Amino acid sequence: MWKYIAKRLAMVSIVIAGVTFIAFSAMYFAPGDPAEVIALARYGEDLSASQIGTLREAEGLDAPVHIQYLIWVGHLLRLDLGKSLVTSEDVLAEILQKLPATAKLAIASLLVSFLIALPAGILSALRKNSLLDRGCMFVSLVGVSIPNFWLGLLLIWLFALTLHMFPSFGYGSLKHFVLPALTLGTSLAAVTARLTRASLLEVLGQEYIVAARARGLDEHTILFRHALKNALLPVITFAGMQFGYLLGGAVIVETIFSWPGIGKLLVDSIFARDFSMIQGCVLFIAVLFSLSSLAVDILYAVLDPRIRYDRHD
Amino acid sequence: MSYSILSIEDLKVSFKTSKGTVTANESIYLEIKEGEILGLIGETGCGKTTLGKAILRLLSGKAKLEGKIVYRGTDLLTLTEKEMRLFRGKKIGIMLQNPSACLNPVLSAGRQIAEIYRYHEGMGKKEAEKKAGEMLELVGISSSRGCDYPHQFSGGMMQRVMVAIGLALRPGLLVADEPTKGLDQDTKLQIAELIAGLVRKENASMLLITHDLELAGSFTDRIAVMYAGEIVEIGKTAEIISNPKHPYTLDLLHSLPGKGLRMVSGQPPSLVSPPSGCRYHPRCSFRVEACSVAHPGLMGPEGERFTRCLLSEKGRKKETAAQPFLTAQAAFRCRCEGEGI
Repeated sequence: MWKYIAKRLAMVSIVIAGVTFIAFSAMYFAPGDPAEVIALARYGEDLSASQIGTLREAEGLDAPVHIQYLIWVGHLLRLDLGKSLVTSEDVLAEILQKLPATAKLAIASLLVSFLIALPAGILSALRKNSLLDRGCMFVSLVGVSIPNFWLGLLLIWLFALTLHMFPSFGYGSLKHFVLPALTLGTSLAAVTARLTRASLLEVLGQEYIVAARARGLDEHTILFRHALKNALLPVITFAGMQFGYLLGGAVIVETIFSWPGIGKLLVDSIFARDFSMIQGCVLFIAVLFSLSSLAVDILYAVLDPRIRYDRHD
Repeated sequence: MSYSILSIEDLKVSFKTSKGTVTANESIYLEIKEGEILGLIGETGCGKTTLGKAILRLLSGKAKLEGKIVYRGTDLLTLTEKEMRLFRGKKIGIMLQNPSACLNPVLSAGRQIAEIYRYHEGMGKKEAEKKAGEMLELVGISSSRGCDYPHQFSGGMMQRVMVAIGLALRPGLLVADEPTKGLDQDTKLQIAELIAGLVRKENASMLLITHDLELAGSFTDRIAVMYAGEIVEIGKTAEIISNPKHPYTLDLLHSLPGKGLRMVSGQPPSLVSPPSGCRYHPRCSFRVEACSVAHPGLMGPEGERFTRCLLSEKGRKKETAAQPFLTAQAAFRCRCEGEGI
């Protein structure tokens, strides 16, 4: 088990190393001289060549690229993601300040999706081809097809503008969670429900389910003790990856609902051409994503003994 | 005359498929006596497994079962699903084919045995685990391996776990479907001896489903031979082996390594549209014209023997214009004697 976790951790570090490289080079692929870009973001228009030159030296941008990269990585290792080009705030502090809002929304959305998807998927599988199954699968097909931003706008129109039940934007009370969490949760639920159904159907067709029935176990025990433990493995993988994605900030939904999370921070920084903030966000999101997939791998091992034990032990 | 623990009367099992109705079992009459081990042999796809699963009503919802399956006076086909559960595992144990597919990969072996005690006997966790450990010891596995998962066992060990599951509640009847399939010769014998030994010790009965004639020959009291969903011959093991009366049984015996290793020619027939007349006639080397027209019933008894062949002695008595059959029957006899069977 520990060996397995160590292996996964090593893989994750390789991925993160790759991400730092990409995040760093993105700066250089952006059109124009980085020094000019920084100067433009910091001081606005009308810069003299000497101003840019001073800035280049001050920021260490005159050193060779690989040295710059190593220096940058050195800072990263000390958890120093630099300062915002626009506000001069510490990038990491800024991101960490936005993290709780994003994390809470991610958890709420995941909860909403599970509350809808698991019962729907399980019932659909148990009553395969029934009216209920067809209904659930039709709704989920619609759910998969509706883009997030449109669903968000529809929910705002219905619950905020027409029924005045929930606020349409902002952050603070529990009520603020309802619409963004529903928007993210339902679209996630659509896929999760289909996956749960397909996975459970496959498991229910396995011989060990017949064997469990042959021991006289009732359908309830078979479903909860024998089938679901196997059927939920792919669902957990999917949900875990989605959670990682949500932690990175649901860019569109956070923007629509003015949710003060990482997604919105990223969008705002892009508009402000705040390159160090963008870089920091991308890096942070990538690390969160890798860590959540690591968590999924570990959870997977806890649930599936075939992964937990190496062949030779 | 000993009592029968299970008697199957005129059982028909059919499945509706897109290609038509598949009749996997037809007019099955079979009786298993108390304390008896009955072998059910036949080629792959002849309907042996279907029959085994039909006894415990484990076939999918698409299967249609007609007839009677009577276990100690109760017709299992009339029970509700809830009542049926009391028979499964408790009164009739079953070892399905292919243990690696039949054991749940994410549950430990011990737990898969223990849950039987918990469910049927209402035991607590500790007690059930203790009983499961005893059961493992009984089938030759150290009880400490109870917390191991199926993928950590070898094929033979997994089969032992299946034996422990099948016999956990000391059922009166064990249905063992190909319990030695895929095992090497030594392990095969060990497993067969283990199962037969435990069944005999408990004075239980067993239906041993196998395509392995040698195995059936050494471990059963009687043998039923199945072909294309029908029982074609049934009788005492020694008599079937030494004096087969149905041409198919004879051909099966000839396919044994010690008996010439001659394959049964031709392909097993389709169960969607079985051959007219006797189902074996397209592959039978003794066939006469009537075989392609008349479908023989199971004729007998001759002692304890029943045979589904127009050329069998009972059949000969029934058919009055018997000359062509007599000749063929004589040829059949000669060949049996010539082969020294």
